[in-house]
Amino acid sequence: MSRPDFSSTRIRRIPSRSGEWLFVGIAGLALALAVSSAAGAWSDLRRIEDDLARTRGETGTLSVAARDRESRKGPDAVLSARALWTADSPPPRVLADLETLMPGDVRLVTLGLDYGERIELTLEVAARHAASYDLFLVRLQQSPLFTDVRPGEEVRDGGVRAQVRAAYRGGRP
Amino acid sequence: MKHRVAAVLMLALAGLVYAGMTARWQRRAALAADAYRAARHERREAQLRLAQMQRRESALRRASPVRTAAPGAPADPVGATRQGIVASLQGAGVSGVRLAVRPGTPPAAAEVQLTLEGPFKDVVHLSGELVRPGTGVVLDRFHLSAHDARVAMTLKGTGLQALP
Repeated sequence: MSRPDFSSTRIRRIPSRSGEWLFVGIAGLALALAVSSAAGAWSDLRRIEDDLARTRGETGTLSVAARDRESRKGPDAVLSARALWTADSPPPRVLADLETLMPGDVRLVTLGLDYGERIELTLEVAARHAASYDLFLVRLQQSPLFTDVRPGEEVRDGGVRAQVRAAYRGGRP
Repeated sequence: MKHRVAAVLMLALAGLVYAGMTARWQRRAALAADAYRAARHERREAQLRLAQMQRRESALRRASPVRTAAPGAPADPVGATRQGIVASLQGAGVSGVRLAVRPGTPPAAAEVQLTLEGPFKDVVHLSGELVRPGTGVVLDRFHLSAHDARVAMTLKGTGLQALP
């Protein structure tokens, strides 16, 4: 009985099956992720396009309604604007808002209110100290209730007597 | 070998799906999202415009005088406007009253001019009472001037027709 000769036997490489399967698994996962993200992107696109179409439809309806009302502008529209300002901001309200901005030694000499598309104010104020008038003017310019503040002629003779024009915005958005 | 080929094919397919579908749809979604934001802004603007006009129309309706079926109540808008103002003046503590109520040009039913004087507090309070909703008077111009402890007020307004 002869003994087998192992010295001449070639070592055969066993194919690495697990490495190939790992590669297949990764590729499969990549494909699944790609398909899943494509489905997500499609779903997002459909949702946004639906929202866009609905919003454009609503905007169109609202714009037509607004244009329709605007086209009826005339004396009624002006009167409606004045009615709204009269109801929202009658003289006591405008005066109260003005008074909150006035330092103690500033007083109102005359006040004119013109009601239209907005309320135009014409004020004449007197202050014992020029600094008080300056402070009032700064407050008026910084107040969210008033806009287009235009200082007019002012007489500085120790105290101040000055005219100011402005528009009242009230608590409107 | 077959496994490797299959894996390569799947990777290639994944790349194609991403480049050809996902990325394209994401770009379209981003553009649509921009357009959606702009459309929402336009819708908000249109809503504000409409709401403003509706508020004005509603204010005009609220300002219109309430119809009274009381005996002796004047049927004509000029008389009704005048009577409403006179009623507000009673007990108001003011003096030097000059009132003119004339027929107005449509849509105004009447034109109102009122001048008076009195203590600041009373005059300011009265100015609010004269134009509160339901009186039928809408302001056009208001002028106040101080004379010592008293103030003089001039009010110009529009008298509205009563709504049915």
